[in-house]
Amino acid sequence: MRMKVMQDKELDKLLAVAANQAPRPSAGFMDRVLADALSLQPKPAELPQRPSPTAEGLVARIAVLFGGAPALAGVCSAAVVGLAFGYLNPTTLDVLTGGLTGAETLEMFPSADFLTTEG
Amino acid sequence: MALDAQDTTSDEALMVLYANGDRHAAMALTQRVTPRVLAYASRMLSGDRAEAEDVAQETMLRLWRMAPAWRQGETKVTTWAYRVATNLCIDRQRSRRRKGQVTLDDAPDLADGAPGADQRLQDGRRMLALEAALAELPDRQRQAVVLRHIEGLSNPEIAAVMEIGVEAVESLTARGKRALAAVLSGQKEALGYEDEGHAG
Repeated sequence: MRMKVMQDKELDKLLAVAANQAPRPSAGFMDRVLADALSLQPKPAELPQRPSPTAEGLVARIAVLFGGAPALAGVCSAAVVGLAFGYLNPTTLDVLTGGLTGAETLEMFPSADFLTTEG
Repeated sequence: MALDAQDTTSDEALMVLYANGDRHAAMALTQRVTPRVLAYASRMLSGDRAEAEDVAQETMLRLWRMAPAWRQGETKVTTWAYRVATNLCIDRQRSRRRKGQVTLDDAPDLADGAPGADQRLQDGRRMLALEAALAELPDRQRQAVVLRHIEGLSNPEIAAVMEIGVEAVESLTARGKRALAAVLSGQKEALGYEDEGHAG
């Protein structure tokens, strides 16, 4: 008795048809899966909030304008030193400048006349 | 950043984006992975659509839950998903066998596109016969045949899913196909295959 055997070629063709006829998910099913995904999704990490400048004192706000407390301290120190120079006796300044301020004139380029002299 | 199923971002990168709270990554992964898992589960469960959807949804749930612990480079998302779906399908098959359920009534929903009603009917009969024949195979052979010849995975990918060697995959696939041919041979005429005169 002859038996009808399924050939490899026929089986491969059948499997290829099956591969092309994959069941398609319904829109409702996809929506359910997506709803699961969104409900289980971890929340994005929140960045730590900087305190608002308005919530701080006036000094802190000014410090921010100057680039921070250390910078403001430097500016204040310079201002104090400037005021001190302004009010102190000039002779006292000689100590710092080595007597330069006592000079009548100070020629920075003593021999620069040749630049402006013709001939 | 808009991501969809056609985006070139890898599934593994999408998992990281998903874990960081990116909603578009959730959508892209859903669109990419869910249809494949559903199709696979449907083949493994003899076309039982409702059960296949349960398996696919449960597989995706587990994927979402493990996303924060996902480590890139260790395994592919689809490999992981097929593996989880396989285990869920096997559990359900064992449960069915205990209950003695008949599965042929659960015909798969066939995609449109067949050229005509007769062809469509014949394709439907053939698919039902294939589902029934697949159901008769041992679990491992069925997995190997479905993953290789219907889902289109490579042998190394199947080896990763089944956690066996490539040679074992080749052996399972070959034996599975021989067993399928043997089961379907008795229905050749009914399925519209012409006898080519090969004696067995």
